[in-house]
Amino acid sequence: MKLSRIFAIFIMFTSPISMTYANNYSIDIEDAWIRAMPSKAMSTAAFMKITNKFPNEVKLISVDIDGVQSVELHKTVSDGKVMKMVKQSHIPLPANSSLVLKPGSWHIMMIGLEKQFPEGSVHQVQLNFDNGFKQNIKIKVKKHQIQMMHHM
Amino acid sequence: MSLKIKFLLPVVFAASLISAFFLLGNKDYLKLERSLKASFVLFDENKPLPKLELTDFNNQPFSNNDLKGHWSIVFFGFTFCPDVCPTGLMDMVKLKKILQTKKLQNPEIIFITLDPNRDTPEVLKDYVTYFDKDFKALTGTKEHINQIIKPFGTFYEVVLNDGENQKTVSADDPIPSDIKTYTLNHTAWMYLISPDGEIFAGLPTPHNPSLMAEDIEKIFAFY
Repeated sequence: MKLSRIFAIFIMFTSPISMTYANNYSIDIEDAWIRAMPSKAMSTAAFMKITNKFPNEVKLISVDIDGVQSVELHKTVSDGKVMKMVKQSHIPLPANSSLVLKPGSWHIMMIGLEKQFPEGSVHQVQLNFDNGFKQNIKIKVKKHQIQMMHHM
Repeated sequence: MSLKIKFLLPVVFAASLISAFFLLGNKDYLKLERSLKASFVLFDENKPLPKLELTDFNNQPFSNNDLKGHWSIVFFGFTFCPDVCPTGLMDMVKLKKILQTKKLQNPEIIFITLDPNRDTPEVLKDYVTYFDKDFKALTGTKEHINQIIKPFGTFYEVVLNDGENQKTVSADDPIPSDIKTYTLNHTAWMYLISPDGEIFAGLPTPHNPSLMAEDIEKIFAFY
């Protein structure tokens, strides 16, 4: 009883500190896009650049997108010649670094589209990380990423 | 010594004539192959393309004759594919633009489904023409598709997704009717088909449209 009270007081005093601590750090999302697909397509994928500004590794564990039956974290890997889209339990984001989710690599797979995702439309997406951090962003549906065209 | 030279000279002369005939008369595929950056010459006159009995996205029969008289690029995939196939088709859109600026003939882009179960002609038409109005798509029976992919060196396997669990089965295994979703692991090479209707070159992943266009230009000049 006494111990739990001490613990409660401890939590009361430490949690504002940890919140301030958390507020100094963030996970930034840039250049996000959902791939525009034909109207009858049953799946698509979301891509973006994720920058982890925390001093420790953070894992992207899930993504919420309205109108999608199942959102999975995937990585396209080439096993010799065969391209495999392998489901991942999480996407690791090392401390103070960026990871680009792009075609042919890491991506957020959207399976079972219950609504249309037409080119130009914007959708609310929530990314959930293992440290409790959540990032809400709006992502536009595009046919391709503009940046990719520069490599031509 | 001089006798030996007298004897050798005609032999050397004949040998150089024969090699000159082969170098000039026959096409030097090895030299072409060495100059290519993003593709491999696969042409083998002893391995003709098997008989195709496919259906196009307008429900019309498609045979080997439909590949003759023009260049084509054949690509195997499935429309449920969320990453590899749309990336490949976008690369084909870029390739088409580059070939147009080079004022080169555009090969016909042909997408052949590895998933005839879900990819009906209607689904295929909606899918490929979304990327480009000139792209074509073909389907056929699963057994026939599994046969015709072999000379291309294309391989696929089926990943059954039952909620949490994934199970990989062979391309020849039947897909259980109660399975929720499935995807395919597959090779994503593209194949350049010559106007003779034969496999000429293979373009491996990852695809680089600029390098592909350079190679195609060389292949067109060579052919």
